[in-house]
Amino acid sequence: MRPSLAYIDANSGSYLIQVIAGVGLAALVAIKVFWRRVWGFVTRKKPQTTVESGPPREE
Amino acid sequence: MDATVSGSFRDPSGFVFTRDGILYRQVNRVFAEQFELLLSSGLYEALTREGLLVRHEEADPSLAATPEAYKVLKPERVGFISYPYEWSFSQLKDAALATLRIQGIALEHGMSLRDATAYNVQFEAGRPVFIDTLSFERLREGEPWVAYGQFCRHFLAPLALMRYRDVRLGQLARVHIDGVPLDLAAELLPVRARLRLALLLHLFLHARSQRRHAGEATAAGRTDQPKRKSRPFSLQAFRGLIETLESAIRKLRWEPRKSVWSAYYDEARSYTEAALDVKKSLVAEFVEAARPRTVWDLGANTGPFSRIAAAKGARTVSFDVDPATVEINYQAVVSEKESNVLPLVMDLANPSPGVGWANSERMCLSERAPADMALALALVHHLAIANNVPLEDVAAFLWDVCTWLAIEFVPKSDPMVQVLLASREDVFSDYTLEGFERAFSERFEILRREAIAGSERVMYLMRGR
Repeated sequence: MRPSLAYIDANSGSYLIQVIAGVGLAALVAIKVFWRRVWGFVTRKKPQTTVESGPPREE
Repeated sequence: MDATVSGSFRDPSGFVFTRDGILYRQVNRVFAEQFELLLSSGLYEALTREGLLVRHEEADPSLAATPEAYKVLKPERVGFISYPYEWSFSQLKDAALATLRIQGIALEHGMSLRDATAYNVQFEAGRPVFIDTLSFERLREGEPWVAYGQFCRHFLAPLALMRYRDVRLGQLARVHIDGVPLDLAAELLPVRARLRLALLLHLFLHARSQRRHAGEATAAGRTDQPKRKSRPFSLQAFRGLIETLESAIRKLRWEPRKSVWSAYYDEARSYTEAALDVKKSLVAEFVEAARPRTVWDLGANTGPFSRIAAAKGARTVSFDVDPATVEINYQAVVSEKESNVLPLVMDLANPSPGVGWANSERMCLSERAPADMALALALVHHLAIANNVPLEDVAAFLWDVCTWLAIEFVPKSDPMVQVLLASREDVFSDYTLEGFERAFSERFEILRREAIAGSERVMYLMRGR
């Protein structure tokens, strides 16, 4: 059993698992941001229609 | 006379001490740059604005306790210091989420938490607040979170164990002062916990990685040993790490079943509604007479009497042995935004001991005393009969922890005492009203004695001699 010394945790296993998972974790955030943008684009409010830009919407 | 606050001695960057009863935090010169960055980056302002970090003001530098001082701070004081093994499930969960929120905000300001121990969080005005101003350091570009392992040990592992195994495993924190070892958590958790992707990564694979790479030097090791070559850890990955941890913590939910204690006040055999009303009004009268600033409600159940004291302005700590009732109590604190009630898990027959280095790193319960007033309602029979504690010793303990005492004597004829006596031999010949008054008179002056109409119980208001 290893002694627990860490005030500051420098455990190499904790360090390496983060490095190994790093690419996946970064991708996760990137995908999230991407979907947020897509979702934002799809659900964004359409601008008020005007006479110039087309026929009035049916209510 | 200075006294270094135990629990802050491990950190070379500074420590907490008291002088003339006032709490100070010394920042050592070695940490000056990091401390100034906390202020100049706007992180201190952002965190204190959200109530996530305890505020401080700068004190006179001549107050420094040692020559290494860079600055002396006077932090706002927390009303009652509590520890993770005294928190209910949701308290530990909220402390975890607060830590992650703080880390998220720190990243936005180019800083990072260098430790993530649950002892850096306290509950003030019903909310978790981070108390260690010296836990922030400049973000080390390309390096992962140095406090990741500690966060998983202090928060994720015990919460997962409480959720998937048994809520009483929160007590493991009392034994493992630097958090539950991940290999132990992985061993104890059921297989179905592995189906949660975040738990699989942050607990099971993390534990395996720790075992496999034990003792290896890393870039985070901060030693002079050769550093292991590895990919840099991007800021995006860092954010992903915090997000997955937050999502893992949020998804851990535990709802208390109706346990013995949380059902206590629902049972007609314990009290008639009228008797309960009499008891409540007596408690209110007693609290008004004592005018306490601090109250300990010992054996508080879900806290109905704590709230009577809290409504009269007393900062009330609401102790109970049952994690389910404490959970219900805390949920009420959160939903009602109550700022004067702090529910905590505490077995009064075996209260929190002094733990850690020299048994003094984390205070025992009586070291956090005295309260101006204690409520010991429907408690004495549990200590005297269920736990065989002589009445004199019960009186001595209560005398030690409070000045004023509202206490209820529950006679042997009471149905609840009959339940306790049903399974044990009645060796409690002194357990009578006379014996109770005799034992308590040695330590307390009895100021009021009121029978609770509709029951055979008697309420007392006492003051310590």
